[in-house]
Amino acid sequence: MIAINKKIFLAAALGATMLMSACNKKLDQLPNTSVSTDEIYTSIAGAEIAYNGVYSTFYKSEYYARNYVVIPDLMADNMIFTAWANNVYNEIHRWTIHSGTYETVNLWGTIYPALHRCNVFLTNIDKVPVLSGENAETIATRKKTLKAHIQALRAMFMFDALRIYCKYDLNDQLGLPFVTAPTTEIMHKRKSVQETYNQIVQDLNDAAANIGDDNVTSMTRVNKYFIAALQSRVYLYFKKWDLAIAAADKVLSVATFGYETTSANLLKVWRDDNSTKEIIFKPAITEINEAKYFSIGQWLISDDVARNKPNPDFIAPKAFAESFSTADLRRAIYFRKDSVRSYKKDSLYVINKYPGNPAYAGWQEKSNSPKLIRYAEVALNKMEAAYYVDKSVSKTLLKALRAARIPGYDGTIVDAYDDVTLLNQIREERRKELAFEGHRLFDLKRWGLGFTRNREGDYQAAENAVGEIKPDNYRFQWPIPQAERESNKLCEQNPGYAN
Amino acid sequence: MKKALLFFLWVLVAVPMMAQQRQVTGKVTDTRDGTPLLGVTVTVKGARTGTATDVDGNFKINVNGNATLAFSFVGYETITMAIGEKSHVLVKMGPDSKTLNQVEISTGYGSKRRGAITGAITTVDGKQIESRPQGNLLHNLQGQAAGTYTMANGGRPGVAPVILLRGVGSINSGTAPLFIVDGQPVSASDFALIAPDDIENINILKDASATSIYGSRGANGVILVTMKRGTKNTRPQIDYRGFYGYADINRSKFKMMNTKDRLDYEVFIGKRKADDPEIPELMKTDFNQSKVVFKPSQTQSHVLSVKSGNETTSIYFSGEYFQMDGIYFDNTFKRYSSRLAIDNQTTKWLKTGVSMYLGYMDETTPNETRNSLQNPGMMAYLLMPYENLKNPDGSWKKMLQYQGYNGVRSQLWSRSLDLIGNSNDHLKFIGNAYAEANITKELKFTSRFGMNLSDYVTKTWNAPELAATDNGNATRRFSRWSNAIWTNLLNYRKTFGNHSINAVAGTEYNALTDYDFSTTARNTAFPTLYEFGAMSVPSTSSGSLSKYRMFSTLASVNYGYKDRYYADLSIRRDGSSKFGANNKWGNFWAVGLLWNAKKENFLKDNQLISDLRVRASVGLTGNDDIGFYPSYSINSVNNSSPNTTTTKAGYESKAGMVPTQASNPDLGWEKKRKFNVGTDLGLWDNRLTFTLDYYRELTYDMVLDVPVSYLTGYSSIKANMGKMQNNGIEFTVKSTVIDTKDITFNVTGNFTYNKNKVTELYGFRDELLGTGTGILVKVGYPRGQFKYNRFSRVNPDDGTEIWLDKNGKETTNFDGGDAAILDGKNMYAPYYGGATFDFNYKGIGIFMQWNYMLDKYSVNNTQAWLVWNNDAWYNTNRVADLYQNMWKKPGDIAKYPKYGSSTAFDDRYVENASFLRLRDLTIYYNLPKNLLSSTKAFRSARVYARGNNLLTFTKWSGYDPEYFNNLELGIYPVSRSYTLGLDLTF
Repeated sequence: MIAINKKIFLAAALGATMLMSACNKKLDQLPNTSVSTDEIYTSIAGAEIAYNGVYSTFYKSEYYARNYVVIPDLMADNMIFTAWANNVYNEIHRWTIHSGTYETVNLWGTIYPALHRCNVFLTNIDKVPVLSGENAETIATRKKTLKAHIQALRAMFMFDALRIYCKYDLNDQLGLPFVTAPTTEIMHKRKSVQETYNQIVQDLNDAAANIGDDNVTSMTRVNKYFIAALQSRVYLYFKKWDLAIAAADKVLSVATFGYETTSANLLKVWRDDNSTKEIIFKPAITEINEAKYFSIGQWLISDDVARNKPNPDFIAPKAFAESFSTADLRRAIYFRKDSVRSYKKDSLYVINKYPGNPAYAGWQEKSNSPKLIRYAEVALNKMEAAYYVDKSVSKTLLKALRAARIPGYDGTIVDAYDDVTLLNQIREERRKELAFEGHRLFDLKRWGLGFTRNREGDYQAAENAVGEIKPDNYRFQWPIPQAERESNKLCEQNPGYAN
Repeated sequence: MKKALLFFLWVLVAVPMMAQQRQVTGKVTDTRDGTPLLGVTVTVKGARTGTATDVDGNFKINVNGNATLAFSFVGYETITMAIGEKSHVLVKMGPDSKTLNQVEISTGYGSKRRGAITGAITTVDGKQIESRPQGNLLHNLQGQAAGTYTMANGGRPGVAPVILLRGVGSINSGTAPLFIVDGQPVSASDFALIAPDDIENINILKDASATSIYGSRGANGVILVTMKRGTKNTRPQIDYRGFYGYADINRSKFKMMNTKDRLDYEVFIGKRKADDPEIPELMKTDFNQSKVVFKPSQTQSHVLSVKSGNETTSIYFSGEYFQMDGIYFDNTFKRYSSRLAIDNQTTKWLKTGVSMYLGYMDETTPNETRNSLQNPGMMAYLLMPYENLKNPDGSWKKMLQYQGYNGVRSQLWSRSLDLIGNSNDHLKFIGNAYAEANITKELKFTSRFGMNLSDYVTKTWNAPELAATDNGNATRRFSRWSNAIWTNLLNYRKTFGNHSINAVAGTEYNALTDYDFSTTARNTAFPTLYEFGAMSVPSTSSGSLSKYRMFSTLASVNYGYKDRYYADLSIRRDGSSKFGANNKWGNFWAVGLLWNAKKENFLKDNQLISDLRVRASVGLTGNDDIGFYPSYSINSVNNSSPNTTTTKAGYESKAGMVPTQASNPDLGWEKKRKFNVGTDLGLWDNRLTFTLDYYRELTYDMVLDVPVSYLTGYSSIKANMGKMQNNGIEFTVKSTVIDTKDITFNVTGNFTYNKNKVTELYGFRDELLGTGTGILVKVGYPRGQFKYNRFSRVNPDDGTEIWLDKNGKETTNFDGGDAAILDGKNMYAPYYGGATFDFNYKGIGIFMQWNYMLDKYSVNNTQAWLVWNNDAWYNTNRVADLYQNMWKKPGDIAKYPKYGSSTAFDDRYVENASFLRLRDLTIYYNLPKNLLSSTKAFRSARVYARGNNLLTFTKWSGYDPEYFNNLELGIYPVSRSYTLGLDLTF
């Protein structure tokens, strides 16, 4: 045991202990599956990753991957609640929505973080350095383009929140609370509708000025047509007729856009998500991303892999489905007349606008991307705005739409409309063409119209909200979610709600 | 040197010359049960001679003439005996109350004499937990120690219970105590892999004086597990411990409709015609489905251990096989484990050793999704009584998957055929190596490196028959968790004059790394193959890597004066990678005082009082159990905004990231200030002992998710805010009521009262974010407070439900805003404890262990699912009295509303879940020594029959009141078990 010398052992052990004290830098452990914001904006490549992050908002089922597309129709008169449905969306359909309803919390909880992501991006993008080997001019151009994208998206997100939480009245004080740079403040007052509108218009104008021809042929990213179409929508909501027409014309004047006029081609729009003529913007929802699991079609049809009968929670009202003439190409594409699993007595109108794209491996999930901005909507925007400016323009647009959708449509019917009929027909056509695309509730709200749901049969839930919703119902403005107001005491609730 | 040599010569010459030297032999046994005592020091009074007893209690010693022998043994009363002319003596020794305080208690970084400890430490002996049919040995702590709240988290074998020391100590951070096994931090779930029989004892450290040496991890208390080791100079000893038995469900109080009731109900609500021709056919069968779905399950355990030691090396090793199938039909649990511990006196001044623990666990897990009808616990209630689930040959019927709730039934068939399943296996290594050097007699340096390594593999699979789209799929997740710890300590121990010092100083470095990945593949080549090699399409994969590093310096000193007054001072400085850049380091400390009154002159000779100590301590501890990276700015690939589903943050297959956590460089430790006063009293030679502690603990600077406006991009951010207190009393009594040659009767009992109160939250808001109805966290109320709408009655006119609004007026409108705080109804029992009784007559004994919890409430969500009376629930069976007691016609004063009523959730389902339970009843027989010695093989033997959870007294109407959650919904119930066991020592 001579080999082990006590002094040497102790010296070594104590020395090792000393070394351990040098381990302090080990205490700086960075996460291995995430990075800090500062690190993101150290290169243009990093900024592109954050930019894609903002786009990923489109995959949220609480927003455009499902809820925001179906809720405006099911809250209004385009869908009815079935007797066998589970409780999803029932508070919305029955008009009992309150500040604790999931969908309002979830929508708010999706849109505001999305706005925050835009703000973080817009605040940091200018800090991105030009790295060695990079061309300063290319980087500067890219930054400008990326900014335009994010500003357009910020405008879209903000407008979507405004549509659901605010009145379309520029004199109303209850606009959105918002900031344009990242904030750590806990409390924020609501700004006025005018201020909110100004911010949206500003972002869209900036984006339009800077987007150039970026992505001009893409249907899945912002481009100049996306911006123009969105502008026409925003101006229409606020009755800026001339501006709406001017913006719409930037799309309508492009020769490559137009209507699909055959049944086969129209089916391509809806089933195959594929028409460069009709589709201006669709989120990149395909079989490879997760949004398909919340697929609109899966929920609206709900026949499973074993090819069972459909089992939808909501179906189309009979009268509405049958208001499409049998010659109308849309009737067979928008609806599927079938008996359903829980109700075999009769055939019902199952909503078939999102039947699942067979090109996708997982198409049984009924994966389709919603067509958020379409040529037809832009035309309808202009058609409606023109009614207040030049009714003959409206008539021409209405005839063109019907001629495209209803083969052999007799345009002289439209020529014969008086003013009142024309307005009603424009609105009716808008309802039909844009059904199940997330417009109906907002359109009714814009027009100051209520609606009535009629009792159709025992396939309709017994405790269903049948009856009339008056145009002054306070629930046309969704409640600010309780979750926001729990900490943000300055955020005023919309009138009518208890808390 | 010269002197020594001369002395040696003198001894050589002189000793043989001394008169009448002779050899005395003898045997030392324990007064209590006659077992031989090993290692008793035998000395001759007035001489230098001494020896020790061997493993059979025998000794040999040389004496001169009529010598007097002294026998001393730690924990036993020293005996002096004048042996006269005898050459063989029989000595019986009994436990000594006076020296009990000399027993060394491990306190983590050093051991202290029990009588010098200023803190609140409860010791649970290894014998109190061994040989129980429990997959996770922590369950065996239930009711065993004051201040220890142990609550099952479901009855699946191996699932860790929830353990809280002195109340629930945090709102948002971890509440589990720090578990240390032989110096190595482990988690509660690790105990599913540790054989209970390898445990020497468990010390439960509670107050500041005991826990602040653990610094940032000490806030919730520390459970210190010491494993068995060999003893020097012992004859090899082989132990076998085994049991065999079975477990079955604790029958619940729910009674479901039988076939006749069910058919009457169906006819009444108009779902079936009264003259339905099917009725006579259906009436032929009447199943109690819970008897069909649950199975009595087998349990067994076999442990062999060997202990041995010579002058330089001692060794302990063991091997265990443990099997316990669950009562769910597709649940199994098996464990194989082995331990090896070697200690070696390498040189005169250097001691080295290793200990290694290797465990392997293999289980198949059932569907335990609580809010799912496919969970067997729920399914057993919901299946129709007239439905025969089995084929004539006893196999489960295959039933359609896509009709209503029939998916439930198909799982019986599919899982029994392995068409769908989940299984886990877990490999665990816990080990350490140490070197201990005596620098001087008083000063010792120890360096120990330990490692806790876990590999988990989780598998799930679906056969093509169930996953047609994928044509079969399988998922496998692998995770490796490793925690290395390197501890360097200097221990100093010295007594001089009236002063004694027991001090320790050291450093510790802790490096925890956790990584995992999982992969899914589909399209199997053959329907029964689920391994990836047979799958042609890999589909998804994911993974993560997380690291945590901590560096600490620590010091503590225990100073004693005249054995009467003791002071403990401890301090620890921890640096952790978890916290914000501005707050990485934290300091923790404690001061403890002890007055050993028994040593004072006025008590020294008191015959009644054999022990009296008064303790007090105060200090600061921390809690760092808040995840790996709570303070960092995080942009992640998961697009998870508040309240919403998570999707990937990329777009169009291009990489994307989104900010998901704001940085908070100021984020720091959650702190807990602890105050404790206690006393230990022993009477009649400690035949009756009491321990009483009063404590006040204040958690502050809690790491809370503070609600913020969503404009910040988040719904909340983590910050240090809020205060919560736990004040309470702990009381323990132990008594040897009868202690005669033939009869012994020991009784122990403990009681804890803990009062929890949240005293501050965010300042601007007095309710915790995300709590409203259900469970409420609110300033002025305890954690776990229930808040629900109050049900009033069923309206006799129309059979609808009537509630009370917030002002106590009746309303037919169910509005969440009317929910009321249900005073005194709390999910954490404020009163709890246990008692044991052990009566032995001539080796035949009966042992009972009871435990209880009072004022515990829980929500019987299962009950709600069983009484809801409408179309949505029509497809499932309902409680037996629903038809009888539901509203049927105007004027009925009914318990249940009419058919077609809502599924409102209110205070009807908040039930008292207090209970008193006979946790353990054991009848045993210790075979007589003389019988055993005639076999020449066995040194001791014991046979026993044990029943666990045989009796439960409770008002709770579900399966089991013992469940840690605010609501019980289709839980995996704790089972009742019966085992026969055998302990043998060779």
